Amino acid sequence: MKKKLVSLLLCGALVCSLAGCSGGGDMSPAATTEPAATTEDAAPAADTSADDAAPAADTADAAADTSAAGTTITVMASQDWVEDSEQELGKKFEEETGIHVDYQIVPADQYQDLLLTRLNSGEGPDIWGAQSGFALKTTYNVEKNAVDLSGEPWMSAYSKFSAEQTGVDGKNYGLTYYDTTTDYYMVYNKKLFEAAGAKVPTTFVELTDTCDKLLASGVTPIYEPLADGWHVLMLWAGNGQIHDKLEPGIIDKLNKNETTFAENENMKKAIDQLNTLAQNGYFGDNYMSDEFADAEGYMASGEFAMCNLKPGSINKIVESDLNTNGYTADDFGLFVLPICDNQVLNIHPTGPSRFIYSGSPNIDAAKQYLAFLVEKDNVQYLIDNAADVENLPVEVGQTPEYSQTTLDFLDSFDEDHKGMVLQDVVLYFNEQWMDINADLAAMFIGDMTSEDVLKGLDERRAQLAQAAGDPNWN
Amino acid sequence: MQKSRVYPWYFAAGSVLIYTVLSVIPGILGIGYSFTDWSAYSPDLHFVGLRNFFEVFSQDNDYLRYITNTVWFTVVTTVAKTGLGLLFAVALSRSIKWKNFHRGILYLPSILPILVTGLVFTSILNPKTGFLNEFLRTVGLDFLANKWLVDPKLAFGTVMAVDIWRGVGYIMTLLIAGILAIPDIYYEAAAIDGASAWQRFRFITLPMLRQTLAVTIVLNVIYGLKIFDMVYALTNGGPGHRTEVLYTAVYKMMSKGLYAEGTTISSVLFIFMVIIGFFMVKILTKDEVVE
Repeated sequence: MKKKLVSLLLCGALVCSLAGCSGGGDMSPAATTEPAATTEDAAPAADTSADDAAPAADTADAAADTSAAGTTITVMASQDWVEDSEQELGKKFEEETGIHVDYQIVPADQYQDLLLTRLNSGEGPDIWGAQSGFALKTTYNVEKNAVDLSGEPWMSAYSKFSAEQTGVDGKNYGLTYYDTTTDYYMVYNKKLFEAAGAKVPTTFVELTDTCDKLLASGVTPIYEPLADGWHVLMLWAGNGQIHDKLEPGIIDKLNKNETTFAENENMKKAIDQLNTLAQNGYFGDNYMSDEFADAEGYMASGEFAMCNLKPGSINKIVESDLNTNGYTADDFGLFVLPICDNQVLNIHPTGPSRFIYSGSPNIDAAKQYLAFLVEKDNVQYLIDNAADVENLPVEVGQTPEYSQTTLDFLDSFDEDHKGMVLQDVVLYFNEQWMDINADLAAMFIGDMTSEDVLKGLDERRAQLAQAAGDPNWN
Repeated sequence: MQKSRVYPWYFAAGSVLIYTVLSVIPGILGIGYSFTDWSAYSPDLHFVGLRNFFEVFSQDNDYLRYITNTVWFTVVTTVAKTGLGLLFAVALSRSIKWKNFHRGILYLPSILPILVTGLVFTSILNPKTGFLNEFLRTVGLDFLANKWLVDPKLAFGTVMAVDIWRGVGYIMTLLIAGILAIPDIYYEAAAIDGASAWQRFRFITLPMLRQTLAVTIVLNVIYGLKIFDMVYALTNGGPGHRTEVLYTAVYKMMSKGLYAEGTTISSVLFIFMVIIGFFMVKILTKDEVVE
């Protein structure tokens, strides 16, 4: 009798759990068929008038729509792509619309593989994040995997420069919600430099001299987090604009498959210089397991003298709990890393962007969320509350928060000394970002040489180009 | 002695059909795709012959190292899990105090999801802030504090150690079941004949456990060859490519949309596993009595 009772209870529990699963599944598509008309109705309202406030008003209408209440949308992004302040905005969005936003933040070293696996298997999240640029067409196949957002009300407020990077063949598929108005530069601690008798380097020789002096003063020169698997390549590619200055036309030749990275002496020199930084101990003892999320904390502690960061990070450093030395924003400065003696400012209009999955059952709710993010108050909220965000690539009448340090630094470069980073101009480069980072790590531990790294890069470019049917490789 | 045909063939037809549809056909299709240029970048499919296989076995690629890593992982973890599992099983089959508690403690890690185990150990083994090194430093054993997951000399060993820690309890449980199935009468007779503990283990326990050991070894070998999640969670193939195994390479290829290349590596592993599995079952069951 007891056994029968237990069996009955177990069966009941099983049926309930199955019913629960199916019930949840039925809910979402049904709930999302309704708002389709309302959001679409809002779209044509977007006119392209010069009035800054207009797009904000339009998007506000779109976001206030509550017909999708009860829906949950998932936003999948790599670590550090979604600010805490945005998650706060997500709560506000839920209050206004009843749509819950589930943020799925994935460790950076696993993100791209996981996202592509989900997209390629037809299981994409409602909103997915990806770096804008060339790779959108090849790696992410946005024309198939993302919804055309060209008709969204916020398009008139969206930076045209960013729209070019999130678009393919004249259609816009994404929204860059990241401060792409500046790039990563070397943030350095002026007090530590002064104490070590070091100066801001303008050549690679000066850089090693600076690092040696810092080491001698008991400070680790550079915080370089390799654990995330994406950062170290910024030291080269993010200063790769120098290559086009050293050899005008090299980028064009690379894209036409008329030359390779491996046969270029300057590319090899740049990789060898990175290796020198690692082998000389300038990254410290623990760089293989250091994480990007700890960068501001370690800079605040005074343990490290510099790190490749966004200029807005200076605010985070100053506000860090580990800032026991009383550093102020004035104690930090910016310079470009002189890999291959680079003195050209890196321009990098691409950045983590949001795309709506074409197979999502919640497309309209996802569109509402993007429209909500671009509302003036919300853009301003992010600028005011995310310490490292100084501006966003939208124009809705917000007030940017560039520090004087950033403004002075950017003003110190004339137009001849500005150039696009490698990943924005070289085809089939950004697609293999994590692979190149892994190869660089392999070089640092002695498993690969600089020739191997560049040869691997060329081979993967050829593999991707051939798979894409690029006539220059076929 | 010839096998008696008690059941008609169609009794197995249902399961054979399901197995064929879900396992055999996809397996054959996968091998077929490895001779094409299947990718996410183009809807067209072309026959490319053995090009993908040449790439996998090319000296220019790291795949040979990934194959070596996978085999090395399989050998080490199988030997360690079986050896330690047997040791614990023998010890915990005796009448010792809190026997079930000890069994439970050893079995516990194997019920944790591998990804959770991986994430927890990533934190524990962090060289700077991890619990293990902090503990070693606290008790004055600084010289033992290491960069467990990022030192190229230690990383793969650490991954294997975590996997052994996780898997040994499961193997122990299977072996305990095997040991408890051995009739006491053999041990009693051996004790009367004056056999030592070692002799009882060597001439009774071990031979009678042969079938269970065969099962555990085959399970371990197949698990080892298919290893992915533990490596993925702990090192994601790093530092560099030092701990990369075949399935992490397959995963990276597939996620890049290079399906044919991924399928090729997978097919190589499939063939390898079939061969290994066939010979292992043959060797380990060679004395089995045929009814």
